[in-house]
Amino acid sequence: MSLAWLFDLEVVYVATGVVLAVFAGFTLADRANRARIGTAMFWLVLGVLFALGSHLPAWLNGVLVVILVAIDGLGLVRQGSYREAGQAERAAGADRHGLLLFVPVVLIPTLTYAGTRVFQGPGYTANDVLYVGLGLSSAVATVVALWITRARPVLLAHDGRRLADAIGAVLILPQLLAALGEMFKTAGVGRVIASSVAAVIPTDSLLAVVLVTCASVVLFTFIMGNSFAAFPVIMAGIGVPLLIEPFGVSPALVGLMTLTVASCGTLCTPMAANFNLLPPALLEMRDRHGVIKFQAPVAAAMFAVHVLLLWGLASFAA
Amino acid sequence: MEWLRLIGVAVVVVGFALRLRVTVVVLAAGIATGLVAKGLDGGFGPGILPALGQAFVNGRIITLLVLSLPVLGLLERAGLQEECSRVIRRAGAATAGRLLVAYHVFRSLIGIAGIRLGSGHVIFTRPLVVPMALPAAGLAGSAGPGGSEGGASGAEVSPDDADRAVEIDRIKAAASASENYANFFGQNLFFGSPGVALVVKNLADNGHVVSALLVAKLAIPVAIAALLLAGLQYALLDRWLRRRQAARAASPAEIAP
Repeated sequence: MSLAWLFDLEVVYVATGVVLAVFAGFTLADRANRARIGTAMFWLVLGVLFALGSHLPAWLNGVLVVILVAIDGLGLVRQGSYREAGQAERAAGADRHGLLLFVPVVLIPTLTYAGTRVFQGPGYTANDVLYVGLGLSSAVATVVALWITRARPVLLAHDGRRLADAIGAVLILPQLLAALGEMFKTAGVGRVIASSVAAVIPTDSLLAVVLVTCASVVLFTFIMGNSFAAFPVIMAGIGVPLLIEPFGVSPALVGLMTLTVASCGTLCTPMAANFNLLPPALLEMRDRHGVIKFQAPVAAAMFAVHVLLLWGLASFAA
Repeated sequence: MEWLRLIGVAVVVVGFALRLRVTVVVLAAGIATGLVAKGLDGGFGPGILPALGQAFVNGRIITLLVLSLPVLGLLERAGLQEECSRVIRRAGAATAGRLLVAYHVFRSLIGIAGIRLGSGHVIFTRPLVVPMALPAAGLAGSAGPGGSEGGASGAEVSPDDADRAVEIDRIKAAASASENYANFFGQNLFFGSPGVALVVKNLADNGHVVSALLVAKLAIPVAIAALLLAGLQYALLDRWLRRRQAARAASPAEIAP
């Protein structure tokens, strides 16, 4: 019996929309939040985009995105009160449940992974199985956590909303930046960058071409926030015509090094919001650029490593 | 006029520099880019607003982490972070830096095994890594990721508390970074990873056939270099924490009555 029908991303989109709508409902009743109407609207509109986004006309989705940004722009996404547990209550919980508390946390990655192994083959799309599996694993972990802690289910709404509000409007940033990347691609931003770099590059020195290839893919990744978007543009514009073909460098070497050196750009850019801006919000850090600042020295060193590896291995093999 | 296509980039740079609200800056950059492209080409696919709405909806996969927030929040209420610090206290030799080395290796192994999990920050860093790293650095009293609320809320902040807040922030940054380092530089060790597939497909499109295994093999020196450089950074973090704590012990700040 095939369960392929289950692994439809629409399932998790609707589930996420429902969760967000529940957050919105509880927010509306939260008198401790000075912007409870704005905050509730924000989660509700996002929930609508999730649950109905596949069916609404594209222009209406666009309008809803503008509304989300307007609510945040007016400073109307704020935190409220969530019946937080005090230190004593949490310590008593740890006394009572001990290591059992780790079970649901471990279940999420384990079940997700198991799902990708069990449900493969014809009819299954790997990505859909992964993300639907992640959603289902979260649901199973939720039930197990309720069973272990004997907590009232309504607390799920309060605690989920507490984390969502702590992240705030930063939650939509990764998606918004991905949309901006699409706009850049449609507008031909990559073409402009690759052609202007290719016009000025000194093409007779292997080291110079290696350096320019690495630097331009890092720069373009910094702008796009996504190495997978920058990679094909730089390969087509610089890597293949100026490095692989004239110098006879191993294509696999150029390809891999160009892709991973691009990550040095990802480590330094606020455009990669899911890696660099979401964590400070999720971890409630004071400095929202703290992760980028910490990563910058390692990114610089890894850039040098890539240039040396690519140059060294290319010269060695030539 | 081709360079005008980069207007969105300029908007982002200026917006970030002026510290304007990021969502607004990004939206403005998207609209500006669409307007310029429309002006230069006489059209922009289906129109700017629909393109934006469609792209946002197509990216929903990125934000599925919402589904795991309720259970993680509930477990925090039930004492998950406290249990993390107890586990760390039992393992005597742990420091924040050593813990991050262990996490970096663990996360790389996950990559080698070809296991993809979405955001490690949500399922590992917030519930486990930070609540273990803080007590390992002797900052247990400040609770977990929501550290600020654990201490003396309402009361005035002593210089020591301000010192500790800086250390807590740095440890949280390091924990996030270890997830990124191991993810970015470790995932291509698996020949079936999306990154390796992208390289193989791109080269094939450009007329060069290469084996995925060879590409994955070339990722080995990259992963090793990342572990060494990150390991050095984690060790420096430990030294920085030790020095600050030693300085604090040597000159105890006045304790407010």
